Amino acid sequence: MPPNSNSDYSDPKLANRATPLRCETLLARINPLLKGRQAVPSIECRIGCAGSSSELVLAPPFFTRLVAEAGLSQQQKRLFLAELASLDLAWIGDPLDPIDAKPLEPNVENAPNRIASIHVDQPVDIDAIRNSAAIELQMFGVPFETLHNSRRSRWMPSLPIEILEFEQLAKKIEMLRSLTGKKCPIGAAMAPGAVYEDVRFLVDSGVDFITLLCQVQFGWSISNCISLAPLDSTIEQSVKAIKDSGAKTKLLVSGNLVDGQQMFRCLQLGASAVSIDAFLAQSKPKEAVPVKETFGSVLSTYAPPTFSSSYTWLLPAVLQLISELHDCALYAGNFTK
Amino acid sequence: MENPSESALSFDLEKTSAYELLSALQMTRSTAHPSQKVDETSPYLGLKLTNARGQDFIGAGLRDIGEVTVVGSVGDFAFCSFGDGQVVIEGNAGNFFGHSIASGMLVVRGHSKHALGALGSGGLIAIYGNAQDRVAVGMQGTDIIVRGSVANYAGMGMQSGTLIIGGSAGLHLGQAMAGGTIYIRGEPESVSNDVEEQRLREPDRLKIGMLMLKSNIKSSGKEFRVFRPVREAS
Repeated sequence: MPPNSNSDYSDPKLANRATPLRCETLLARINPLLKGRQAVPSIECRIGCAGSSSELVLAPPFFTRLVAEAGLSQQQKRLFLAELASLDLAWIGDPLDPIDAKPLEPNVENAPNRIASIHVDQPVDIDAIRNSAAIELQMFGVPFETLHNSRRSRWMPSLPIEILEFEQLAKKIEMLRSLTGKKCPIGAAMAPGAVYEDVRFLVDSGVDFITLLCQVQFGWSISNCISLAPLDSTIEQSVKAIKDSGAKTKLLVSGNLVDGQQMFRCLQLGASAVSIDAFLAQSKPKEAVPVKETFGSVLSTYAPPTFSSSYTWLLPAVLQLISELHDCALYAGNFTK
Repeated sequence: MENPSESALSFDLEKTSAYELLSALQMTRSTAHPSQKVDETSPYLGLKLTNARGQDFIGAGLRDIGEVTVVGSVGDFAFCSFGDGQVVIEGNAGNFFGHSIASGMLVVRGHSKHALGALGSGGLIAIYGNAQDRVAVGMQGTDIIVRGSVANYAGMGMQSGTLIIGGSAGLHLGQAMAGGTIYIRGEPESVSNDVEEQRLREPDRLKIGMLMLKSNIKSSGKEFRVFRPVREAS
């Protein structure tokens, strides 16, 4: 295959990429025929910040939670983040290095796509949220063993212990906004329970985006699955709740989405962006199957720079996914977000 | 060392928002990062915040700021995520005062509302008046002294740290407490089943005395009762 067979992508940042795809996609075949017609719809997610004109753009509409939750080593994180940066993908997690003393300005060059996280019952760390493009409150149960300095293996509660009602959460969100100069979108990640009520609670508290965690697991053990709720109905209920609130809150979905068609279905149902975690986990290189199948061990096959042939699988896999998504959008016709 | 009165900076909180204050201090100070050494001759030794009339988020995110005096009362989430400094508030404090405090010392000469010192991981908070309910909720290492009385659910979900109550307490003292210690001089209306009373020992008296001394409150530390969780977190 010629190295520049994917040079006609609608995203100009990907046009110059020399990495070839594994197979030629519909988009790559059909796009030269449709040049200049804007035939391929642009799929992106724009998350605005309430009270200001600032917004976080996810283009393509992907994000990943693996940096924070896959238990990667520092070296693995660095390699992973380098790949994410080259793809402009948003990621959720803390900064790798101590951040230099700088004014609180989001969207700075060193972490343009980092979404800082604040866990339930954990103190607000000003250094972690500094220089982030957005902040996500983790309003879901987390097994202690996945957290730093964990001592107990049990679940943390889903609502912060100091919050009793949505006015208090609204105040906390307003405080976080004030810390970032009202330029940083604030969101919340939740696991489906009473979906409609939970989403209404968060929307009424003033979040800019909500991340739904459906069928997401920490590692691949079923005991670590945070929710088994079905994806479709959860998205539909969330969309209804947001619509009933009259807010412009964006919906992000993290679930067992392993290909472009499933992701596109989520986008059609009303999600604004989807996580690529499950896709990456199932896209592992077959020649390097780890003994213990967690995502951390999958990526450990990818980490040593000496094995140059095995650690570059991530980039073409995601490029192929983007292409698949555009194919679905092209096939579906008038898809607009 | 430079005389604090000569280097005092003053901000009018009627004209300066919390973010403007934070930005102004960070922009003009080269040692803003908490990992760096605090320069005792920094221009913020003797920082004064005037016209505090219950505005929210005052001092949120401030770190390494030396001594600060706030003239008036502060609103909700004041001095959230505070670290490395000494603040004296000459009025009252609103809800969630000292939320997520990491280090340093906050002194309130008046009273405090709900959830004082919530999720604090270090430092010392001293309230010379009373505090409303859920004092030290989810606290993870801060020391809190309330000279007066506290309302319901004091010490709720505490994981570590010390709560000293000079007066009485409301209902459900120590609800869901997993670690830390509560010292109380008066009578709680009810005590949660999650905590049990223990004998006041010499280290307890010393600890109370030290914290009281640090907070400029006179006490011998002998008249207190001690409550600790029934089962400490393993």
